Amino acid sequence: MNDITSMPALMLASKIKNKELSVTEVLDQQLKVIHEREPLYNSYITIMDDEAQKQAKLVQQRIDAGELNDSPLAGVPIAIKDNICTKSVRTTCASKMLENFVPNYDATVIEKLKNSGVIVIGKVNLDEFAMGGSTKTSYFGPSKNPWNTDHVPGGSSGGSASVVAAEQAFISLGSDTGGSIRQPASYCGLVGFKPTYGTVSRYGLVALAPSLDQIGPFGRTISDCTAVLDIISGHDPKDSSSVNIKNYSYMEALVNDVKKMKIGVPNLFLNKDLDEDILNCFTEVVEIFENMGAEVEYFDMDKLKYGPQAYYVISCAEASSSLARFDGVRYGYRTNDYDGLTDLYKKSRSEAFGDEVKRRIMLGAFTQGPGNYEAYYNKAMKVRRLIYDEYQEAFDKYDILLSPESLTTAPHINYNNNDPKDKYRSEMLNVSVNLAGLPGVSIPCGRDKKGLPIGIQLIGNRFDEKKIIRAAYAFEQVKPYKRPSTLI
Amino acid sequence: MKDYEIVIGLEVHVELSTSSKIFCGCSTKFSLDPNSNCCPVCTGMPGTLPVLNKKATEYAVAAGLALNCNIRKRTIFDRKNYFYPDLPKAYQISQLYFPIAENGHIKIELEGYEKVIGIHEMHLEEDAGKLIHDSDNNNTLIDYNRAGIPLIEIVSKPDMTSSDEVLAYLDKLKTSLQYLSVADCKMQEGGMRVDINLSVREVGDKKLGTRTEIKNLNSFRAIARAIESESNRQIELVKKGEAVDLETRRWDDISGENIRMRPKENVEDYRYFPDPDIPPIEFSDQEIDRIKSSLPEFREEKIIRFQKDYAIPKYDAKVLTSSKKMADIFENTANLCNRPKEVSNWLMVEGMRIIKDNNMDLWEVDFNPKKFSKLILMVEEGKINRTIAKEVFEKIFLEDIDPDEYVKKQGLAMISDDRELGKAALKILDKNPGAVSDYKNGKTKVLGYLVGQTMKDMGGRADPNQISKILKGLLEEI
Amino acid sequence: MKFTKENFTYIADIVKLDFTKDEEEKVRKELNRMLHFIDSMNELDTDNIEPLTHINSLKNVFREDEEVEYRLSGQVTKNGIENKDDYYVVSKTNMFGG
Repeated sequence: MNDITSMPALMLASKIKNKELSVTEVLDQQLKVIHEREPLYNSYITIMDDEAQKQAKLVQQRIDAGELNDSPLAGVPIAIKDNICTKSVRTTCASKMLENFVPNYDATVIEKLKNSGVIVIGKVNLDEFAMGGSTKTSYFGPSKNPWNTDHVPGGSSGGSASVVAAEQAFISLGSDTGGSIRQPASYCGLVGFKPTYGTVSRYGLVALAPSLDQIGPFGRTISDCTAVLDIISGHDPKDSSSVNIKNYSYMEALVNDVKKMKIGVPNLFLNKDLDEDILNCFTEVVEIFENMGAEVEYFDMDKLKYGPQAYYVISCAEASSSLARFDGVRYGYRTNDYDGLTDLYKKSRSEAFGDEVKRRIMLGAFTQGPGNYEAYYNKAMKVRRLIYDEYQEAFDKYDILLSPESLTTAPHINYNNNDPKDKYRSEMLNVSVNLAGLPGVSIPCGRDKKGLPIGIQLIGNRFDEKKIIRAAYAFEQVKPYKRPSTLI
Repeated sequence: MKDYEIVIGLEVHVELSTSSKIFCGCSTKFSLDPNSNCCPVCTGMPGTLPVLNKKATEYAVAAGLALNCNIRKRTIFDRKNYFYPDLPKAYQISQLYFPIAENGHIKIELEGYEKVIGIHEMHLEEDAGKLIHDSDNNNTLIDYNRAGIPLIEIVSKPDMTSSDEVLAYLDKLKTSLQYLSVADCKMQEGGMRVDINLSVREVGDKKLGTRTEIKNLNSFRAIARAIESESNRQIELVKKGEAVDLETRRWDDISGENIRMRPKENVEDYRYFPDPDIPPIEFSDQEIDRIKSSLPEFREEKIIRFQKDYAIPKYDAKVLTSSKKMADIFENTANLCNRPKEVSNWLMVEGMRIIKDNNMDLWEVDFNPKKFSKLILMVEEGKINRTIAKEVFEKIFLEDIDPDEYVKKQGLAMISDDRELGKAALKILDKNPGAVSDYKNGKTKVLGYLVGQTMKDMGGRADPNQISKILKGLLEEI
Repeated sequence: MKFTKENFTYIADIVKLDFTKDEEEKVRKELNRMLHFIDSMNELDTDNIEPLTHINSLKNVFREDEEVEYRLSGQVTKNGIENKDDYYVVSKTNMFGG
C-alpha cells in the first residue's frame, strides 16, 4: 500500500500546505501507482503525465507564494470523466466519434479546479457519451471494479469511480444524468455526489440530456467530496441554467449531528427485487440513524414508479438532439469514402457511434416525431411534473430521504440483462432524483456476501445539500471508509 | 372562362443590428475573413451553451410593437432539429410554441386603396452560416461568421393577392424596422430575406389551394418575377385539372428559372421541443411599457407632426420621412435655420435627384444639418444665387464640404457691386452692336440675350434682375 | 405506438443513421420492447397537468450586447477535418447543382 496515494484528499492537502509533502513528490507517486495499476483496471483514457508535471510546478510556486492558502485542495491530483472538456487535452467521451478531438477551451469546472491549484492528472473512462451503467459501451473497453475485477465498476462514470477506489486518483469528477455518479460510487464503495441541478456549471460538459445532467465529485470521504463541491459550484454566466445561490461554504455542513432530523424512506424502493444482503445492510443503516437521534419513517411515494419511463423518453429525446452536432462536418470522425452529403452524414455517424448510442438516438427522435410528441414527449414532461410535486410534498414532511442506492451490487462483467422491466427497476431509485433536479449522494455502508460494496442514497430538497452532507458525515463517523481489500 | 386569384403569405427573415450575436459575444460586423467572428458556442463545439443577448430581445419586442403585435407575457425558445452543413449544432434555436409576438398587422397603401395585411406571428431565432461553392474542385466551403446573428422572422397571414401588395408590404415593413433602428434591412447584403408561400384558386372560392414555397428571395425584382412565374405555373396546372404539389421551389433570378427543390417539410419532421438550455423570458407590463416609451417616433406619427409643426403639405411630409435619416436631416436643418419650406424644397428636388443619380440608399444619406442650414441662409442673404447654390449643395451632400469655405475658395460669391456689373455689361454691349441696334429699334426681347451673355461672362455669379436693370439703364444712354 | 419497418426507415433517415437489414431487425425489436415498457407510464393520469419544461424557476437570463473576442485561430485547421484557408470544407458535395 502506498502511504501517500491511500490518504484522503483533505489530509493530503494539509500535508502539502504544511510542507510535509511537495506537490511534485505526490504527483510522482500518483503517476507511479496509475501506471502500475492501469493494466488491471483500464480506467484511464488519457494520462496527462507531462501536463500534470507542468501544473505541479506552477502550483508549488503558488503555494510557496502564499496564493493558495484558502484553497482546501491545492496540490491534490484529480481525475476527470472524459466527457468534460479539457483544453489541449483529448476529450473523447469514450467514443470513436471524438477519439482525436482536442478542445481549445476548458470546461468551467476545470478552470475553477485549476484556479484552486487542483492538479488535473488524466481523463477517465465512461460509457460511450455517458449512455450506460457499466462502461461496457466504451470505445476503449470496459473498466474493472477494483473490489473484484470480474465485475464492472458501474456507469456511466465507471472510470471516475474505479480510479478513486483503486487509489489512482484522490478525487475525481463524474457526471450524473440518471444515477451515473451515485450508482458507480455504490458499486465501488465510494462517496459520489450529484448536486442540485443548476449548482455546478455545465459549460464544457458534453451534453447528454441538458435538463438532467450535472457534474459532481467522487471521493473516499464525504469531506473530500464536499471540498470539491465548494470549488466547482457557483453561478457561471456561460451557463444560463446555473443558479447563484452560494453564500456559504458547503464545508460548514460537515457536522456530526442528526438529532431530530426527519428521514423519510419511500417504501417503493424496498421492493421484492432488492438483494437480500442490501436489505439487511439497509436495515442496519436505519438503526444507525435512529441511534444517532434521527427520526426515520417509512412512507409511500407511488408516482416515482414511472420515473424510468419518463426518464428514458426525456433523456433519449434530449440526447438525440444534443448528439446531432456530431455529423462529420466540423470536427470528430468523418468517414473516408462517401458520395454526397447524406452519405457523409449517415456513414460518419453509423461508423463512429456504438450500438447503445444509436438505439437511444432512434428512440429519442421517435418520441418527438410525427404523431408522438403529445403521447410520449409531452406525456413524459407531465409525469416529470407529478414526480417533482411528489418530492416537494415529501420534503414538506421530511428533511431528507433515504434509500438503497441500487437493487444489486456490481454485476459480473458478462451479465447481460435485456429485459427493460428488470434493467430499469434499479434505475427507479436514481432517475427520479434527476427528473426533480434534487441533490443526491451515495455513501458506502457495507459489503455483500461476495465482498462487493453496498451503498445507500441520501436525497435532499433542491439546494439543500447541507442536510444530506450533514447526515452523510454523521453516518461516516460510524461507518468510515474501507479501502478495497484487493488492493495491494 | 374561369378567373383565378392568387393568395400569398410571406415569411420574412430580418437580421437585427446588435453588436454581438444572439447567443455569444462574437461580433456581427461583416468580415471577409472566414470563421473570424466565431467561437466555440456559435460553431457548435461540444459542451458549449447559449446565453441570450438582452438587446436582441428588446429589439424584437420593439419590432413586435411597431407591427401592432401582442407581445407574449411568457416566451420560450425551441430547438428546430435538422441536418445541414450551415447549421453548427444540427439544430436551430428558434421559437415555435410560444413566439415573442403575435396577431399584428401592417397597413399598406396602393393606387386608390388601402389594405390591412395580417401578421400571424413574429419570433426570434439564430441565423445559420454561409455555404460557398468551391469551383476549383466541386467542394462546399463553410463560413460560420453569420451563424448566430439574431434574426426576427415575421410570418404574415395569407392576405396578399398580387406582387404590388407584396412589395408594398415589404416596403412598409422595411421602413418600420429601419425607423426603430433595430435592423437595416439591406436586401442585397442578406439583411432581409423573403420566403413566399403562394397558392391559386378560382375567384369566389373560399378554400385555399395547395401552396408552394419559394425561398430566399433577396431583391424586389426577384420577388415580383418569382410571383409572376409561380402563379402562372400553378394556374396552368389547375386549368388542366392537375394537382399542385406541396413543395419548396427555388427561383433563379439570373436565368428566370423556377425549379422544384424538394417536397415541403412537415413541421413535425423538425421535432421542435423547448430548449432546456435557455430559461423562459417573462415580460412584465412595466417592462413592455418601458420599451414602448423608448421607441422612436413611428413614420406615421412623424408625417402628422411634420404637417403640423412645419406647415408642409402631406405629400411633402411623406417624401421627407421616407427614411428616418432623411426625416432627421429635414428636422434638424429646419430647426437651425427656421426655413422649413426651403429645406423641404431642397431635399425633395435636388436631394432626391442626387440620391437617385448616385444610386444611394435612402437609409444611408448623411447630410450635415449645420452646413445645409448655412447654405440656405447664404442664398437668402444673396451671397450666392440659386444656380451656384445647387452646385454647393451637391458638394455638401457628396463630399461634406463647408459652404463658406468652398464658395470663397472657388470664387463663387455673388457679385452685386453695380460698378463691376456695369463694367461687364458695357463689355457685352460693345461685343454685340447688332443686338444693341435691335433693342434701339424696339426689339426689347433681345434684352434677355444680353442678360444671358453678361451672366455667362460673370460665371453666373450675379443676380440676373440686377443685370437687366443695369443693361436697360446703359441702353437708354446709348 | 411502435416502430414499424416504415417509420424505422423514416426515423433513421432524419437522424442520419444507417442500419444493415440484420441490425434493423434487432434494433427494432429492442426499441419496441422499450416502447412497450415506456407505454406503462400511461397508467398515470396526467389530465390538466402542465408539462415541466424548465426545472429551475429561472427566467430572463441575459448577457449584455457586448463584443467579446475569441481567438479561434487554429480551431478550423486543428480540429476541422478538411479545411481550405480558414474555411471548413466538405468535399465531394456539390450542393449547388451543375
